Amino acid sequence: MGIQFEGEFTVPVSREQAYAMLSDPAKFAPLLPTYKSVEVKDARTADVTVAVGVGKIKGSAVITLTLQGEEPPQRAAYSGKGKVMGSAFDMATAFDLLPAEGGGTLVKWTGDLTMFGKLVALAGGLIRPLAKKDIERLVGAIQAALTPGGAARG
Amino acid sequence: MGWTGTSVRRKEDDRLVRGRGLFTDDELEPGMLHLHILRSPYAHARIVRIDTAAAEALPGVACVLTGREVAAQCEPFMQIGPPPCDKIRDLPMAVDKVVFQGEPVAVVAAATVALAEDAAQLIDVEYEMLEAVVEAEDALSDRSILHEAAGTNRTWQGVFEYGDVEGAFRDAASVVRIPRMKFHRFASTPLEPNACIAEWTRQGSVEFLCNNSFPGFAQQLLAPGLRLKADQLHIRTYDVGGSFGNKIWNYVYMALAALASKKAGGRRVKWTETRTEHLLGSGHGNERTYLDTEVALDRDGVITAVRSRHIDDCGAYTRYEPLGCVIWSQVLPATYKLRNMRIDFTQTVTNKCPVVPNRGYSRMQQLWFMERIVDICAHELGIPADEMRLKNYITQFPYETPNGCVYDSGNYPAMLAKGKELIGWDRWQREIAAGRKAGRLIGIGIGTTLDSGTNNFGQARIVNPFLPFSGNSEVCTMRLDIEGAVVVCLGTTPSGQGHETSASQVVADVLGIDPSMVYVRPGFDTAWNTFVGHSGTYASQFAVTGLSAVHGAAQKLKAEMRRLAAFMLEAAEEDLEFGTGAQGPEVRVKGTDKAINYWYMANLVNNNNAMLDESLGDVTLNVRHVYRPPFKVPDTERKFGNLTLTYAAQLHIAVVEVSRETCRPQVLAYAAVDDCGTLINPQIAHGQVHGATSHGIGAALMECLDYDETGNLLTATFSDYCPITALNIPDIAWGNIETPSPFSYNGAKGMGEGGGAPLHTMSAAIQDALHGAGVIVTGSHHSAPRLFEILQQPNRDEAVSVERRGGKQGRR
Repeated sequence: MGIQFEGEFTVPVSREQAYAMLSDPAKFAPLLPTYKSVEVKDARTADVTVAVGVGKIKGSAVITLTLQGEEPPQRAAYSGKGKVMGSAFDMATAFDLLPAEGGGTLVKWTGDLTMFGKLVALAGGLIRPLAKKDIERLVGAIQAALTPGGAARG
Repeated sequence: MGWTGTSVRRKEDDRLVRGRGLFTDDELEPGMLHLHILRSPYAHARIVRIDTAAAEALPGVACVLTGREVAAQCEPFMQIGPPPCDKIRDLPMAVDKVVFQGEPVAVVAAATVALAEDAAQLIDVEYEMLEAVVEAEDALSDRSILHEAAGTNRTWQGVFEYGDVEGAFRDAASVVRIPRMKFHRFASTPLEPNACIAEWTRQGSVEFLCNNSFPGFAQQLLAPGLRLKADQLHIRTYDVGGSFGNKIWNYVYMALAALASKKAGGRRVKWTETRTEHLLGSGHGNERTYLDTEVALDRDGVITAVRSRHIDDCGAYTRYEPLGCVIWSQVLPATYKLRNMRIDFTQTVTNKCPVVPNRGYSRMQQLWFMERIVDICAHELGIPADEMRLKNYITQFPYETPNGCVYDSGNYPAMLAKGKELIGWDRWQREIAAGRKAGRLIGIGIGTTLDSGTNNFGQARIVNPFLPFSGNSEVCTMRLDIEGAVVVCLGTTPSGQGHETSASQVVADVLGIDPSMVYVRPGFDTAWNTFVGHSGTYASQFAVTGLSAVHGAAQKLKAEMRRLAAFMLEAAEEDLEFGTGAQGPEVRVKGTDKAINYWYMANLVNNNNAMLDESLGDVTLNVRHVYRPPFKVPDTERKFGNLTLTYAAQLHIAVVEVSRETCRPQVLAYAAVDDCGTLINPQIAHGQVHGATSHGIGAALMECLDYDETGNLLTATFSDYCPITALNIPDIAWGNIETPSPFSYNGAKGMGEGGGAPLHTMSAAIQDALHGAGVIVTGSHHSAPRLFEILQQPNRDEAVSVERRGGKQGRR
């Protein structure tokens, strides 16, 4: 089951500042929705534990997040792999950073989530709206983190 | 023939309705281990690494098995197909690579079911994902190959051509072209999922209690697979909650339970499948695509020729396949008299659950195809559906089809007349016309179909000439036991069909006693010596093979009893008669009160034999009879021969309305007419018709095994798969006619699969309802979402074309 998302938003910081935050797994990981903990492996890789659940099916998943294909300061990109409750998922996300008219940075983002296994079988119809909700929360968290005075998480 | 044709109450029900049946999962004992199977979440992936340490360390876990251990102790299962199928390494567990979602990658045997499941969660498997192919036509491109050693996904291809196809098209008055049709994937989902208990004994044999429905075949695969002799496998079944063919290949899981028992030091290991596992990894029905279909007709609307390309999707392993590549040809022309046909048939593997023989196996796909052709031609040529059928039905029997099958008996026009009467055809014609004027999407459809019973396994040689299979057989052993009771053992594996009752009726008729005096042992047991390679319950054959074996054994027992009674009563054998007297069942001298009862005879042979004459030395009152239908090996070059013995027929008519608001199809009326020759037990036959009809309606309107593009099964729970329930089954008006088969001793024809009649009928009724909206029904699944899609984009322009040739008459 593949789900693709894309969108854009503007933040009132420079591309360099945005890139610095988005390309650091230790800073990026806590922005993930239902974030529980992060174990940074190296400058490019981190194991992030997040809570997952659909209805009464609840558990946690470990996502191995790898910074991949980045182009400072205009592109930060991650690939991720995880397992949860007899299921597996692959994800890829990229942030293209462009100067925004009137200052700040325009962040164009794409997300690609592919799920396999029991979770899709048991709750396939629910995953798409839940994923959409989580993506919206992630985007909101990134915006907040890149806005001076915005609420920080983690 | 006093009991045949009587609705004797089912003997099995006494225990089943009281909750005293014994299904495999009912068997429990202290120390028994429970097996959980860890299954692949991926449809196609390499297994990079498996770490089982954490699972093995969990207290209560007896053992964990991975593919590598299984491969070290097993031989790949025999493949039926010719090359490249022989290159497919079919083991009960994935070793280096998974090829469908749900394929086993490890098993855990533990003290409880929950513990085994928890431990399986601790097994760490690293996969490298590969491209999945889920559509048959994509698979044939070989862009991503499932079984690399085979070098291709194509598992079989052959052309079935009969008559003068080119000539018939050249002379046709009209040609109807249908570029694409599709028969969807579903299964019959028996009430009791697969289950088995295995014990690898200290003597090196394996004891199985299971619900496999074709143990004669399972034993031939399992024994070499487990590196044992066939006699080292003791296979038993008892009560089985439905099979519909789906349980034929649970031998794969029986192997896993056996190997787990072996590793656990011989402890009994039980595995009971969950519903999701069943949907994911147990076996689906064949999915088939029909391409480039062309139909030649004469100027009267008689079909003179059909040519088409069929692609069958058998899922990830061939296993029982590619038998489906020939079994459909048992019903090549369906119920129609056309003589010219060319079908180019190809089968491919895909990254989906392997297929199994599913109720109506492979034939219903062909019957649906033919019924769609008939209906589409009727609609496009403006011929009423009933008239179209009457123009084309076979009417003379026995009838040899173009490929050499012999339809034993039938009367399809009479069935149509009866069906029309049952449903109220004329009244519905008026109501439909009025409804359409009011804007309702309402239609009536006919499905005529065949339930071919008693396979000639020689047809397997058409797909692989080197297979050592042909004919068919079934066994019955029968004895007068030490107390004088008639004890019958069957080689079949009843799963709700009432074999104990029907067999009792046959024995009672032979011996002139009451069926209640006959004890038919429940289940199947290799230890009874009541089995051959063909033994089991499948292919609508019990009424012929099973009951012929019972009848033969009863005749043998009767002959021995007659000799014994003649000696003891000092009478000529021809002066004796069988019946029931004051002391129970007996043999007596006609017109006298001289009689000997069954107890006395049994005691003579078993306890008191010094009283017997030497000439009776061969009388044991313990007989075995093997019934063999009169088959020949088919001509494999021409793909010609009699592939099955009897042809029960079904004719269904339905009135269906599709809601304009919700697109939900609603059955407004349903009639089912059945002809299975002489009825043995009308109540049981009626129940079978009701079950098959319900299954078919469910498959047509609700049930679909849907995969996404990466090979995820999206309908792996009953919430999504939506099996039919009592709440969705419409009232069914049932009727039957009897055209006795000349090929069975009792005139009966095997039945129970129903030929998928409701699928054909629903497609026809929905076609009739939606034709005015520009829709041609080219699929077999008619759920509300699919009907919504098709109503959004009426397809008539691209789904069918008609070429009319003025002046041509057509040649039949």
